[in-house]
Amino acid sequence: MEINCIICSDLFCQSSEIVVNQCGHIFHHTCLLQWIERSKTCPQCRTRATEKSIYKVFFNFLNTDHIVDNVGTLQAKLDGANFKLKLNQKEIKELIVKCDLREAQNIELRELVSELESKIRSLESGVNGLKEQVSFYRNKAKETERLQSEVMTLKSSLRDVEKVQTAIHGTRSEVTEILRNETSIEALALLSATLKKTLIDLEQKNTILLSKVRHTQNDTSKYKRECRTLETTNAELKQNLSDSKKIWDEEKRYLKQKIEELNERLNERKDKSPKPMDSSLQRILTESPAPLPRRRVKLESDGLEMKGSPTVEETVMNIMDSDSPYLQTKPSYGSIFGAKYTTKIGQKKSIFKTTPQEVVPSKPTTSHTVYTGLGGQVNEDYFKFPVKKSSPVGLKRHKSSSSVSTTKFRKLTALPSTKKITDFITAD
Amino acid sequence: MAGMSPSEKRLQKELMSLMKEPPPGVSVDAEIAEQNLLLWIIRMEGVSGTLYEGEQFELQFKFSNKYPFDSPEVTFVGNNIPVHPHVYSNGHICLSILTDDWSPALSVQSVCLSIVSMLSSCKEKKRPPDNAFYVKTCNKNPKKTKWWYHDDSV
Repeated sequence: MEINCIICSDLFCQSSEIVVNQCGHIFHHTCLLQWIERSKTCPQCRTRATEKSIYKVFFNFLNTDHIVDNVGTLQAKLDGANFKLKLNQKEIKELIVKCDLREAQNIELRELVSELESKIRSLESGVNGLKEQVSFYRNKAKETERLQSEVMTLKSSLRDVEKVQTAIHGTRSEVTEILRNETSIEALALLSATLKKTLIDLEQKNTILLSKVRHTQNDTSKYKRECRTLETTNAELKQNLSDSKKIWDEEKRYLKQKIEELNERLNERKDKSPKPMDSSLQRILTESPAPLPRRRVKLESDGLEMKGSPTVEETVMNIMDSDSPYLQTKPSYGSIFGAKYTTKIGQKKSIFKTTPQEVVPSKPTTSHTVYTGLGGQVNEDYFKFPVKKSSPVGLKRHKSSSSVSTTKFRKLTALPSTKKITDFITAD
Repeated sequence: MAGMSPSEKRLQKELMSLMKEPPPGVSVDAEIAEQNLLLWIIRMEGVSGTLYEGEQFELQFKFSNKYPFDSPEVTFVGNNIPVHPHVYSNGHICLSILTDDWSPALSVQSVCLSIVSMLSSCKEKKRPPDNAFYVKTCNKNPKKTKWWYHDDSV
């Protein structure tokens, strides 16, 4: 017999406390007690049920310990086990499904993870690239900042330099304004330094210019001195010139006088001496380089000499021309004499080298030799030239030579013949 | 079976018997009940020859761990809530055995049979007269409602 408690649906057993209500329905004691706390009714028939209305019941169970598991309990156990099994199987199925799901999820997630990792890698590389770019741009930015600062400093220095330029080239008011407006010490220092430098340069230039000026002054003084000396020399020369002019004038006068005198004499002598002689004499006089007084003397002396003996040359010529065997001499021998006496002849006519000195002794002919009548001989070949023509030329020459230059004059004075002139002048 | 509370023991037995020998037109959603023994969903068919023929309803049973001394919380759920003078449009059922007249001798099966009989005995499909007011003001738990079982006829 299977009897169970309707409240807990458990089977009654030997150990369980069983109670019965007055209505006859039996329950587990604990189950009924729990219920009558809530409602004092029988769960099955709703008749009144209190703790006093219930009684304990005691069953006489058959000693069936060896058949503990009767059909009912076994069935119940089987049911319970089956139920459990079902539950577990369901759970297992569910878990397997879940596991599959999870595995699939896992695979997906792994794929996702790998994907994400690759993405991360690519992003990291991108990030690295960007970082590099960032660092690059930072460097660039730094560089640009540095360049900007450099530009700023350069600008400021440019401004300073401009100021310096204005300070150098500008007017004084501009410079003072700049100095007043300038606040930075560096710029002022720069300005002052440049100004100092330019000042030093200018001072150096100044000293150079001063020295140059001194030099030029020295030069000018020197030149002045020279000029003065030249002036003095010029004055001297002028004096000399005037003196010489005076002398020449005197001389001229004297010569004119002399000419007159000679003319007079000639006129006086015209009766005694032949004309050719006269003309030759005049020519001698006009062409002779000797000073007039001397010439006069010489002429006088010549006149005296001509009386006594012919000139050495003439004698030599005579000797050479003569047919006498005793007088015949070698040309060399004659030349020695010639040399001795050419000086004398030279003294006569050597002052003007244009005189045909060589021609004179080359072809003397006895036929041309003319006796003066005063005891002397004169070779006519010497005076072939017309007298009147030559005399003014000679005078002109004298004049021109004296007026051309002082140097010529000096040369003339240096000659011994002119010395004689001066002597003569002084004697006069 | 060791380690199970008395309420769980009884619920398990009830579930086994309901799955094994269900009453006609009644079936239990075993998966939901096995996941949580304290929450059952029971499908119910309108009995043929009644106003609810061909209709499908879902009942929700919520048990406390003091079951069977405490009555279960039973409501209609789902899309189709039967139009019945004792069933409010929010699924609450005005049935005395679910509150005051509960007894530990009752079971899920007996409750289901009571509801089936209640529906089957209905003669006119209409909502309770205070439906609108009740739906606005009621507690979520129908057990908290103080019911007046005014009509014992159904």
